[in-house]
Amino acid sequence: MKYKIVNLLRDIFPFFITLFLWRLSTPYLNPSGILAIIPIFYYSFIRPTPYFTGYALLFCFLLDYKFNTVLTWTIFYSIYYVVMNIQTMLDLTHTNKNGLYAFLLFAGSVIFFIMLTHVGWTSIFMSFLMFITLSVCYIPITHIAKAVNHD
Amino acid sequence: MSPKKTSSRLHTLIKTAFVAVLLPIFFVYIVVAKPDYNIMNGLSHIVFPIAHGVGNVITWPIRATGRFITNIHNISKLEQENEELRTRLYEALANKNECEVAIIENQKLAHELDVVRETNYQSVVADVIYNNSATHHGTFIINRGTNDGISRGMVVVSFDNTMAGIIIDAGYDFARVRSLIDSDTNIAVRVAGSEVYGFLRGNGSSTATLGFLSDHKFQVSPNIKLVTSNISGVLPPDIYVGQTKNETDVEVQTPGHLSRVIVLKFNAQGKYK
Repeated sequence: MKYKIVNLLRDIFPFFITLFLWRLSTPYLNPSGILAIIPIFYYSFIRPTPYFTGYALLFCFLLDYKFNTVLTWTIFYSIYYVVMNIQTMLDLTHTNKNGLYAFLLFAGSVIFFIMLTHVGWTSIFMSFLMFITLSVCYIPITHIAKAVNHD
Repeated sequence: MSPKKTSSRLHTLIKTAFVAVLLPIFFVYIVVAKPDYNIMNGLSHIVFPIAHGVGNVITWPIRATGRFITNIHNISKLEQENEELRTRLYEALANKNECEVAIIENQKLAHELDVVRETNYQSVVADVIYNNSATHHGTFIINRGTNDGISRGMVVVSFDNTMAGIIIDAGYDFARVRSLIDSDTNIAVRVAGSEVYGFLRGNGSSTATLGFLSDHKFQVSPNIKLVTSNISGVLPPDIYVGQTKNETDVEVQTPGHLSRVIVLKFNAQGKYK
């Protein structure tokens, strides 16, 4: 019974952490719940989890809703998902640092695209800050995920 | 290759094909549905409250701790704030008589000029539940929606009667507001006490930008007050927007300073209900 509960908690953790980070949005540190993109990326590409793709799409959509960026995160996520699953050259499930560089490429390209829609000093600064925040938080969050999943 | 591995690969390919089919749908939708995105907003009216509700439950301990710390911090500032408020109250009382005289004079002049202005409007008080300031976007979400009669296009003001934003989407019990600092904001304004009109544009920073003045000879100096103009028939007139900081920058309400707001109900013709 005890193990069943533990396994259940382990199974729902990816869904839980995504919602948790999305809900705890706060300007500057977690604008519009952007940190939720870390578990979305990790559980979609680095450690694929059953039934997570639909959930990830939904939360990309919710990120877009809060950001007021019409389907940008959703479309970029879809593109990455399709590209990563079609190609056979790169295997992100076996990369160093939990796929940090792949994540930075993904997040960086979306943030850069959003920044390009309105170029200004504030926009550049805020985009840079968001990128730094994501870069710094990626390793701790994925380490927690790894610890929970006993990887 | 084992049958299990083949099945897993097939499953991944089916999922990938499904997501790949979604992509052109998304692109076509963005082009076709602009600027209202009714389907997208409609979907969010279902998904957002559920995610928000479940998120509220699982993040409750963190948010409760955060609130507790904020309250402790606020209590320590109460004495100083009380002193400041007393000073402001005395100043306000000093101005009260002057304002009352001005209002009476204004009513008299409006009556003489036969200007009829309906100001008996309905309003709804709402709490800010999300501040979504990010990059050049500055939206926030309030906890009142269509259930309280709120609809797209209504004006949101702060408790000191300064314009805070415009409702851009309303769900059943929540609404999304675009603040004046959002880069998509572009509203018609008037220089208070004159007939000089202009446009106020957000740029993501804490100030908005004033431009396209109707009178090119008009010199913008600091501390000029701006009010809304119904020149385009979108906004009701004479709502205080902010004051100039220099030639182009205007100090406006930012989402970070708002915890509770008032939504003014008015119809598309700019008349208050």
